[in-house]
Amino acid sequence: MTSIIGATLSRWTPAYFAAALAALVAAEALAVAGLAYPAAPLLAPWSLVAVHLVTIGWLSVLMLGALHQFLPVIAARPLASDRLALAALGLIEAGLAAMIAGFLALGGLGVPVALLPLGGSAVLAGFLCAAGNLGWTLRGTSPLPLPARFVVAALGFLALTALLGIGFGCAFAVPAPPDWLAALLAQGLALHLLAGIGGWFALTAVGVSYKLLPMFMLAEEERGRLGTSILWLMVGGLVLAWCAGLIAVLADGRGHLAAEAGEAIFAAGLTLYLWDIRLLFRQRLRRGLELNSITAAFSLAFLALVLAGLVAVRFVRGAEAVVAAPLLLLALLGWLSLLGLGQLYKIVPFMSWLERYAPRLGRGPVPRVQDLVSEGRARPWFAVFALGALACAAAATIGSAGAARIGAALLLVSTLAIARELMRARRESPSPAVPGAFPATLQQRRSLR
Amino acid sequence: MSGQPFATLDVRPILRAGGEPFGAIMKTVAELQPGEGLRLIATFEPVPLFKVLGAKGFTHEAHAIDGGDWEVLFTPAANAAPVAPPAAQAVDGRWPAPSAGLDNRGLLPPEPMVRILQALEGMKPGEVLEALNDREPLFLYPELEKRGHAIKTERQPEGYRLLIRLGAGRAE
Repeated sequence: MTSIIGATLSRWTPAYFAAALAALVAAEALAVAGLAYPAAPLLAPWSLVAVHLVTIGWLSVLMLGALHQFLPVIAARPLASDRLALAALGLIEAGLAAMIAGFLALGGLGVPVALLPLGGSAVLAGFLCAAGNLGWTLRGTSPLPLPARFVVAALGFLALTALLGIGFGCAFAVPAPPDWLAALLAQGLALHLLAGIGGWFALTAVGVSYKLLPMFMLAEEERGRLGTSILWLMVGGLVLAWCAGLIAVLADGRGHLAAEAGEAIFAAGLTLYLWDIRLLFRQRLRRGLELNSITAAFSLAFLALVLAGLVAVRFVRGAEAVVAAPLLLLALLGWLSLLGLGQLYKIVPFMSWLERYAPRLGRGPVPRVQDLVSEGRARPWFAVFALGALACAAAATIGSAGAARIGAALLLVSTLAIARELMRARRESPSPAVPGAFPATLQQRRSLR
Repeated sequence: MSGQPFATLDVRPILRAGGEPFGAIMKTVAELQPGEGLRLIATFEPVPLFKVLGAKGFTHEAHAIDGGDWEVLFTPAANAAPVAPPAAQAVDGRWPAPSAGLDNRGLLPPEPMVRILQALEGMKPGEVLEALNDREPLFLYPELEKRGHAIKTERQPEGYRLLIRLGAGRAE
């Protein structure tokens, strides 16, 4: 017999979620205005602003906010420190603001470019605070469940991504960067993307989905050897690809083959993951799917599309230069953002329901979690978001700024509508649907014995 | 197996209407005569159900039938006594035997927590509620503590077994 303290609601997670949504809206607005990619060139200062609003401001903050709620549940112990959670958010947001100013300095804004590495350092400090807080929460949890193992590996890559990003910032800001730093700036972007998207985002998305999807579809959470193999393929492939890639940058192209092998191993892991999720959907006990699970299925279809695209470009000469960036866009918007928005649509009502009604349970009628949301009202907006992601990727491929702005407008409108639904879930007080007491006790004794 | 009586339950209409057959299945199982098995017809192979009914002492035999549907025969283990609640054997000395039981397996969160808290409200101080959950009810613990109840949790093959003893002075 064990006696356990249990989990509570993470105090600052709603603030993380609000900040994340605001950053996504800001990035989308820049694209609608025609200032940022895909309506403008990828490396234009405003595009760099938008990309980092999406990757740091939206996806990283969203994932960290979710992890602050999610890891204590896995560890069955409260978050190590609420204050550190707030400090991390403050550092990340302040650092991101400085980075944005720094990017605009590259485009002629009259502020020092040094804001770029300075802001990046503040973001890294925020990430380290969050990672430390989360890691400390998991201390002594042994064996670590599969989802948490993905997350721990992901947090390592998060630090690596930020470190590399600061390197770029320094290369911009220092008047005469040393040769190795210049080489990193010229060829290291792939490493930054690999650690950020492949390491931090992909590993977190896989880990969190392995917890949330079985939970809300009533499927088997234990993924057995397949789950462990996927973890090792993804992490092993990434480490190989990254190290070999770094050697290639610093030692003039040697190690390319090993880097490609690593990428292939990583992609094989992700493909197996898709296969396993298909199994999970098939094995589920709950037949009717809720909106968050449907959205997850669509987002994983985007992932499949991205993987297929990445394989296909290997065989078409010159294709990589044309579709690499659109595929990346599809990964960030179609796979990760759609998955994130869908899970928010489940997590936010669940958390608000617990916050408001848990003390009243059993003592009078309370609404059900699903009474806090209206799936029928929200469903079309998720479809519009998915359409917007497709439109943006298509527009980026053919290089049409007009189409890109229309795609971005679809994203912006749907994000605002989904945000409004989430706000409603937090504020609305539907009339109670659950009777105060029902004779479950007697009824159930029979089925147990 | 010849001579084995089966009650038949076809959950395909429920599934096709997008409904949840779990409640209907458990109700049928609860109403089975001693020695009677369950013949279940579904649109998919209900793998998770194997574990749930396995814990109740049923063996299963599944095969695909026409149209991609599945027929599963759940047979009670030969001469098996009705599965006694584990509570009867393994209760800590100072805790009375459970006076009520809840099987919360197969329910979506937060439904198990709702049912436990509702059941507790109908019980007397000192009484013990036994519940079986698929997952550890982490958000329930702080709520029980606030209400002055004590809980013991044990991981078992068929799920998490919870024993909750009602506190004498229940906080309002």
